[in-house]
Amino acid sequence: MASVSSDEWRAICDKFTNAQNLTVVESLNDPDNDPFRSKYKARELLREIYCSLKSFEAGEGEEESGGETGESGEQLPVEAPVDGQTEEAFSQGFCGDSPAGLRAAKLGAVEYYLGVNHVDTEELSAGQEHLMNSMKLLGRCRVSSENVSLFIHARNQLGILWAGRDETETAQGFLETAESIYQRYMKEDGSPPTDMADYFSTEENQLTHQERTKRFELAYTHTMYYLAQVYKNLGETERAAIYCHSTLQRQLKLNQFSPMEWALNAATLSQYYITKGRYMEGRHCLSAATVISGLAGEVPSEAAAQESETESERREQLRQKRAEIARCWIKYCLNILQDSKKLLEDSIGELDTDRQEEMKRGRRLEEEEEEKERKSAMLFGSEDTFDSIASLEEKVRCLLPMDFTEARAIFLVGQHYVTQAKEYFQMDGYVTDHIEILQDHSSLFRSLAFYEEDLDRRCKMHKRRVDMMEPVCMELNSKYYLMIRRQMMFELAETYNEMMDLKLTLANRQDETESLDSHTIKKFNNLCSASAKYFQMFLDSLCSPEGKQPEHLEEEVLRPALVARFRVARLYSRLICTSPPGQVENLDKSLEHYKYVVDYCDSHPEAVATVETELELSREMVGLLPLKINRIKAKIPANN
Amino acid sequence: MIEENRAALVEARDKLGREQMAREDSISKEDKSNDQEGFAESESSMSLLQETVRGYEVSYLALDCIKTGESLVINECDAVAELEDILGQGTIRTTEEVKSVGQQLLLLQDQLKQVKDEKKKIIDNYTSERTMRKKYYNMVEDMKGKIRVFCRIRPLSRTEDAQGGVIAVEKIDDFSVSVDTPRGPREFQFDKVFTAEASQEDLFQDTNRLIQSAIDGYNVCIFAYGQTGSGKTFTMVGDKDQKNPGIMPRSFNAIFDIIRESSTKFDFKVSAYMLELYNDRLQDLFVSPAGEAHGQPPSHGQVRRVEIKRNRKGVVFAQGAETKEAFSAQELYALFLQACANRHISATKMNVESSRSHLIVCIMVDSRNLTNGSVSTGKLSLVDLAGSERAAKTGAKDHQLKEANSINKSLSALGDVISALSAELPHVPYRNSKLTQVMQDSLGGNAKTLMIVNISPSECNLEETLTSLVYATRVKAITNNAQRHVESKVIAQLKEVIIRLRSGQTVEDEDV
Repeated sequence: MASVSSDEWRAICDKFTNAQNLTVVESLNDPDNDPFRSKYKARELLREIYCSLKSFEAGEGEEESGGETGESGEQLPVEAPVDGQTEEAFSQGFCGDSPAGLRAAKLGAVEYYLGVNHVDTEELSAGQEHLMNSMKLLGRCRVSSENVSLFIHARNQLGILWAGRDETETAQGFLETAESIYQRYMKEDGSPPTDMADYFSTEENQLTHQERTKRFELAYTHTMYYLAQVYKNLGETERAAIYCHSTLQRQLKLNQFSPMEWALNAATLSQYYITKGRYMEGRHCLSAATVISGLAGEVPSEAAAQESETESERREQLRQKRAEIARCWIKYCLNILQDSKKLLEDSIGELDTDRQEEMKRGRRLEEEEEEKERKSAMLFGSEDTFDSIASLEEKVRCLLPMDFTEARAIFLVGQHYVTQAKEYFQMDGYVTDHIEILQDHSSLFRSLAFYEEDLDRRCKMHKRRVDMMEPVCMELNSKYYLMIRRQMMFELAETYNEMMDLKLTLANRQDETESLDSHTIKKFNNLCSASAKYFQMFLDSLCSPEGKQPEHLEEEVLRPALVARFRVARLYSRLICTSPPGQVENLDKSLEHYKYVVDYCDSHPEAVATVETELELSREMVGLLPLKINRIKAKIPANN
Repeated sequence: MIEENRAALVEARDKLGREQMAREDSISKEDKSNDQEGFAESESSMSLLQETVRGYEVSYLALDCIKTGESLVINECDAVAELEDILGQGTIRTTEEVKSVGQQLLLLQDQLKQVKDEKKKIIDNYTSERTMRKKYYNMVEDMKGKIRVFCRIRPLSRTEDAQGGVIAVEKIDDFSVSVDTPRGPREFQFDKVFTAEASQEDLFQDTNRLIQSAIDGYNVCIFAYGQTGSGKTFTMVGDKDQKNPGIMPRSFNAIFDIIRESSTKFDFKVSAYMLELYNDRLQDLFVSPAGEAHGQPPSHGQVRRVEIKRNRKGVVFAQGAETKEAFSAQELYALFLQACANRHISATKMNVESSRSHLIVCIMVDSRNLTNGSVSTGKLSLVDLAGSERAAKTGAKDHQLKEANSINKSLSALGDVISALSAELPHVPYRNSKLTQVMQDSLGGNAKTLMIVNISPSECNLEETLTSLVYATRVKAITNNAQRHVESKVIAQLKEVIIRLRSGQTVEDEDV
């Protein structure tokens, strides 16, 4: 081989630098009608390098002739190759640093670059051939620091190539081999490997060890990143999640990331963990997201934003994305509260104190588990971010809350993020986002109320929900925000109903013997009517523009509509009225709505399954209510 | 007898020929699965027919021989071999035999006719049933206010024709299209399919009532989607000299036509803003780029950022963009021309560069009811979306791995992978482009949206196109079905009441 200092070698190195420059820099400016101009030029240079290398070989490669025969005459198989050679790669072939090994690596690298070049210019089969040539050349060598980087890079590229052909399993094979080669290399050797660019740079331009490590690690990060996509495409979500996590972890550790993109990805991943009930991981992702998003810098002031467009854009971006992360935190708090509520509630949705005791006892063990798990958990962080992430984590627990104090702590964190998210997602301009946040806030209150033992305070929490939803619901344009308004109507109706029940329980507790005073009755009736009003409003929203009831309820509103009917029926019969004619009037209305449920299900048998219990009870009431109405009616003439 | 036989033979041959042709005909329409049975049947009746014709030919030959007095031994034709084949020992058929053959033929003809009729009936039923089903589905969908998707197939271009013009897309009926994909033929359903024969007028006929909705106060969005060169701009704007105007100019006219008709009952105000989304940046097309560049320096607060926002009244507005009023269709069209002139792309490079530029035309119609004074605001958004050039070239599919971008350290696909991990992530922060923001407004909630998917007849990666569409159309349904726990409380209470009522207890003072 030409000596490293020879002029011929320098010429090769120059050509290589040129080719790289054409590929990476120049190609960005290629015109639309000649999009691959620079890449084609680069290809020519690479071909020349290849020929020069071969000619050196012809002059000097005699002593290794055993390994070189049949190089060019060999025909490569075109069918999908199977790559499963980690073991052989480490035990067989030339030493990576032997002259033959180095020569193979250099030729392999040129083949690799040619392969990538062809793939980039949409000549996939040619690209594949070059990449396979590269693999073949390397196949003769043992994995060593001189060539391991090329081993990984070539497989990454082949992975991309085969995935593009919808041959996901083949892609998976290449990428998984790359993964195991990396792991084995790091275990057995681990020294900073030669980068492919180093093959073609003169002595004075060799990369530092630090740079070599960085490039090598980046290639492996990409292997993880591609595997995450492959597993997603194969439907292996658990595995895909693990590789997403590792990719994020590696990006951070190696300091190769753009802060906002990373932070949003971590925040999104937290949402995955939350659905799986893995709150520790969810919290870790979110804490890291918040800390890393901080690295993107200060939000430019409003004044600065008015001065320049770039600042204004940056202000917008930073504020929006931080608000998005805040929304992910809200969901964390909300979900953890709801999950624990599900565990602690009895059949009618009240706190089951026996269960609570039992869970509390069981949790001590869980806490110890957590300590252990923490060590093995896949932690995020670079040296300078590690502490801030940990301190953010300490601000909120990741265990299911078991009593009011614990629940309140989580609620407050959630509320803090609600405020933060609303600062950006304001009603004017971001109606849907703003309302979603309001709905979450309301749900936070609802969850907290579950743990509150003081009924008066519990009632006040529900009042807060009404206060935040009611004005918005009334103000929204009913044509544009139909869906949102329906959701809010239902929620308002439920909330008023809840308050009504609480008021009644409170009144009965205070005075068990005597009947309700007129003040309480008035309050009760107001809440009852308000609840009925919103259910009715929901039902009216289903009507045609002319106000006609739909004959057929669409699937997505079927259950809500029938349940609303059932609830209105119930509410009318609960209104407290002292005059018998008034009672009859209310009960008639009640009966009418029960009848609707029964009649609708009779004429639409497919509806029965969605409201089984409600239907059964409605039937009973349709039978029983007339008797009661008649009894009351019987009294009316007597009173007259 | 000879004459009779000859006539029968001619008829039988004719019959066979026709049958064969009919068969070839149906082979070319092989796409309908339920034809298979009919095929088998016609196949068997055909071989029967062939058999019959051969029988006649043999008789004809034999009779001919008798007539001319020639001996059968003459080995002049292969018919002899055939004769032996069919008639066994070479016995000449008698008249009776020929007669029975004739009867058989009549019988067969009858059977064949019956089979054919049945087949036709089945196909007719199938087609009409399918059409009806689809029609009802569309009606229901329409009532729900969901997104409707039209598919428009453009004619083969001259270059495509010259290159052999392989047609990969075929309209099956008004609602479905069959596409030859690399993985075999696939069928796609649409709310309506338009082929090359359909005129701009035809297409607009089906679009027209959306204009009425916009005037009635709805948020209406019509957009064209498809790869570069698939005919989006033709659909939305029309051809260059406006001999075949597209949806945009036609809508301008339609708006003012409707306004004129209702002018006794309503007072209208029509205004518009027009934007271009270029390189993920919204640009006000009423502001000329030249003016911006040569006029005041950008630092002087002149550069206005345009943001799409929505207020609580549901009005979508482009913050920072100029809104201009129009008093006639001509004025509106003039505004449109002005906007087009300010676009980043020059007309000559239209097809080369249009792939990166989206055109958004929004027309607001404020109406005041003259009798009761009620006010409503409707909005019509007309969008000419840019196609995905890259996907067109490489045939990128769903399973393609997104490569890492080593330059800006971005691993852009990671977010997509994570969002796809579960169908029900509580919150997915969007990393989306401005385009998604613009579209979200029209796709979410209660907007009336029409998408026109433009495809070329040689299109084969419709699948990829549709995947992104399907993604875009995911509409949120109501999520909070009656909550179970409150439910169960109400139910528990009511059960108690029922027990008491049943047992005949007086529940006068109790709530029922």
